[in-house]
Amino acid sequence: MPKATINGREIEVAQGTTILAACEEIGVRIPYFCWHPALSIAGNCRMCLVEIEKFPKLVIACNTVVTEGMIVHTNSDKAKKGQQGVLEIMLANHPLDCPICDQAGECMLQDRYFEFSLQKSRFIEEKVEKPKRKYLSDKIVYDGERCILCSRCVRFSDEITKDSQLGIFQRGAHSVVDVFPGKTLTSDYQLNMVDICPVGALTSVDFRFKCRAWYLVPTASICTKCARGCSIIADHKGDRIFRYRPRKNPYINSFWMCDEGRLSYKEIEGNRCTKPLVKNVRGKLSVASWDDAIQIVVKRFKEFGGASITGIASAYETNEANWALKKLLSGGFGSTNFSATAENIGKGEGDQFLKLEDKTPNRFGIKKLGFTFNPLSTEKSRGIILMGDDISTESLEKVEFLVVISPYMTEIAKKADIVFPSAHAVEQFGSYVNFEGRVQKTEKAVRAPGEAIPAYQILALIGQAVSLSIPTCPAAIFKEINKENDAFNLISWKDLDPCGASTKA
Amino acid sequence: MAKTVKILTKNWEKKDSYLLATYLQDGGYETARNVVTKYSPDQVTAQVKQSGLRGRGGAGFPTGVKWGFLPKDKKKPVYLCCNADEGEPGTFKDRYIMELDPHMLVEGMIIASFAIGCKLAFIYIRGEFDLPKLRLEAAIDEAYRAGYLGKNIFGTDIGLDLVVHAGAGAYVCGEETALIESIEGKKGQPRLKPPFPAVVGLFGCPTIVNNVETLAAVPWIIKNGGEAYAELGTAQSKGTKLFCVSGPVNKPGVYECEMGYPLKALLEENCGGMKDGRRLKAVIPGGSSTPILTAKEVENLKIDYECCVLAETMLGSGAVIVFDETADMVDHLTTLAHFYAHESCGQCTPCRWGTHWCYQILKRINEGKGKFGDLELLSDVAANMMGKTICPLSDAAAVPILSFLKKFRPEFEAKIKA
Repeated sequence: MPKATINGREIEVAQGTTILAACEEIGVRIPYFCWHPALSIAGNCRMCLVEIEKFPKLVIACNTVVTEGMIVHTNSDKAKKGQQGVLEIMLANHPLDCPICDQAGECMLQDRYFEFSLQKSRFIEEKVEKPKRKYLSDKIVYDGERCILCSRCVRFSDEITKDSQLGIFQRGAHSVVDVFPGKTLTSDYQLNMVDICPVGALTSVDFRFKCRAWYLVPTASICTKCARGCSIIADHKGDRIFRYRPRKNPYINSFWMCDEGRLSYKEIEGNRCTKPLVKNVRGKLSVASWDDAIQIVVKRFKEFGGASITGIASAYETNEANWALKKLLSGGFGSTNFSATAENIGKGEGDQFLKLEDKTPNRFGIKKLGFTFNPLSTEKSRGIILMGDDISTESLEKVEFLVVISPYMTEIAKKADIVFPSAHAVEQFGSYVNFEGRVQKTEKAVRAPGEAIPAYQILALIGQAVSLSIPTCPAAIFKEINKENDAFNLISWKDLDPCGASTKA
Repeated sequence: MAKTVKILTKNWEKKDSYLLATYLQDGGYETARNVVTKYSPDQVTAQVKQSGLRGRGGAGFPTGVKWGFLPKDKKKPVYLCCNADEGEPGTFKDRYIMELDPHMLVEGMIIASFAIGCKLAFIYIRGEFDLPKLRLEAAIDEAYRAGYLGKNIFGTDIGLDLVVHAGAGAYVCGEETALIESIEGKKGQPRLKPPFPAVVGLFGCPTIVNNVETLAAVPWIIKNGGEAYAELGTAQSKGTKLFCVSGPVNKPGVYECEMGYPLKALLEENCGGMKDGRRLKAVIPGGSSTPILTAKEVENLKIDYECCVLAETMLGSGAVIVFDETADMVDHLTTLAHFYAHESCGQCTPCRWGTHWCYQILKRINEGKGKFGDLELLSDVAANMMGKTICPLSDAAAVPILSFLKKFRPEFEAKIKA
């Protein structure tokens, strides 16, 4: 464990740690572009130059291993001059695209310039012209003039998706990143390259020109398109989500997410339920007040009696909602009949990287909460509360009274007697358990449309109507789940790590 | 004229010097035979170390010491790569070795391979070298047929294969790690060092990269002993060197001289003096990447590593580029700057944009569109390119700019004022 000094500070690091990694550990800021913690070391941007005492030249911090007794200066005059020199040369051929470049506001070149340079430009020659707006696929556009040739995208394609679809062509000042002749990018992870591109050379076709980065508010959430539950950031302005980005989570998705999940932010604008609906005498669903709708539910369920009511838990819903369902039916109506999303529902294609075949975000959560699939029996299911839409047409015909809690106006919802509008994952605080038993929480990024509210709050409202107290705050429900359930036995909602925590087997 | 010991050029004047039959007349391949059948690898390396032979490609690193960097355990195969990329502007000695005496190189490589335990050796030859490649391949063919290469060389159980691999027009592939990348079939781009090729080189295995001239000197050294080689030359620059003289002298060409030979003698005696009686203006002593010297500065210059360093330049590849009084230094520097900008591999920031920026400024000045402050800017950019890159191409590009400006600034200022 070599001991060294960085900027006067003594540190001890693991054998083989580079200076840059050590600085990241202790919070010393060094400028860099081409280095990325998940990719191999390229050492080509030359930005991370630091001074080591007794060394004749500046060295790059990303590729220099800390040795015993090393004395490093990252901000000495010599180091600063070196860093500024590199930045000046890098900016010499960089186009002044900031006013039209999507990366503005989250651009590493802008940021490093403001932090480490602030020199006036001395370049008065002709800048090298390169292809701008080259579509590398229908998802990504490349701008050769902005590109600083850090090779992060090439390394991503070689090392992460392992499909080697990008290369740097030509030589010297005419170098460009490109796909091979006649090819396009085909990976379902390609948009990650837009994330790691330090500048606006790679931009997302989906996000281009839609919103300035500084207007976007980032909120931590979880992708709900498969059971991996990649940690994400939902970037929104007002109540509109503009994009998802992966959030670093070493336990689940590292720095990445698949494009399908990334672009799934659009789905919350789909066919949404926005108000409570009640089937009227003519058999059509019409808007009702919450009170009216809830009163009807309570009346019919009391008529049936607990033995004839079934609650169907949903692998698409939060732990809180599923727990509230159990509490409501058992505590409020005396029912012990439960089912859950069937095993074969919510399955699709997985891949070798992050995508799983299980397309539900919380199948493992409802298992841990004790729900299993049970085929519906006619006597026990005269009345059903269904979260989501997993019910067979057969059962549908035999049910006398169907209450659906759903964010979307599905085909099943259209056939319900009562529909309550619920919130999407990104519109509420809630917890989900992924396929490895890891529980994570979402934070509310935007308001749900219309009168939609989180499913657990809907169930709490119904509970109130039968004098049953169900907490409406997810932290409180989380606490209850932890008290009652061995598998969860975790720390509080407040203290739950943004990267989640393991449930027990 | 001082008597020149002929080590490297001894066969060049013979008719059909490149044929095996000619090479054998003078004890050719006898040394290799002795080495392979009687010596131990360590003995060979010891002789080379004792000779004080230094890398002739330009860096001047002690060859025996380089061979000693190889790991002692033989976990991975060891490779020998002969750097025949000869791209340094002004250098044309290796091509003559390969055209006129390829067998000397082959024999040198056999001995070197034996010393370092290499079973597969490569000659990375510059793509533009048509005739040298033909002669080399023909010589290797002859050597295979004679049993000097192949499965059981010289009747022993040692195998050695020698492959000629052609480049495709990149000066940067003369850099040892870029050369290795090129042989591996990848873009010729230098690697980060450490790790060094002696530890992680070709195909991830320990590799020694030596220049053509360095390897060609090995047979003589082993035959006559390292001590004999060390008796030639000066205290730290042993043996002889090939010097390529180009420019307006009467007899430009390749000359073999003992290290420490006076440059003035080389130009006036060997090369027959300046053409048309013109005055000497400047000399670049070791290839365009070495600092230029004025006529006054070369008055007493002896060409060896130490004297050149004392004169604030470098021996480099031994490419002596001569300028006379009619030389337009601004124009020449612009040509050089164009070369480096064209040859930059583009991997790292300072070289990729720096070489291009410098060329653009010089082009502007050369075309009469220079501005006040251009020279300061040019010096600054060139200085910013030094000491910060993956390989020394960036330094090599900056050096002529800084030295031309230092020695011939008035010419640049004149063009700007005009």
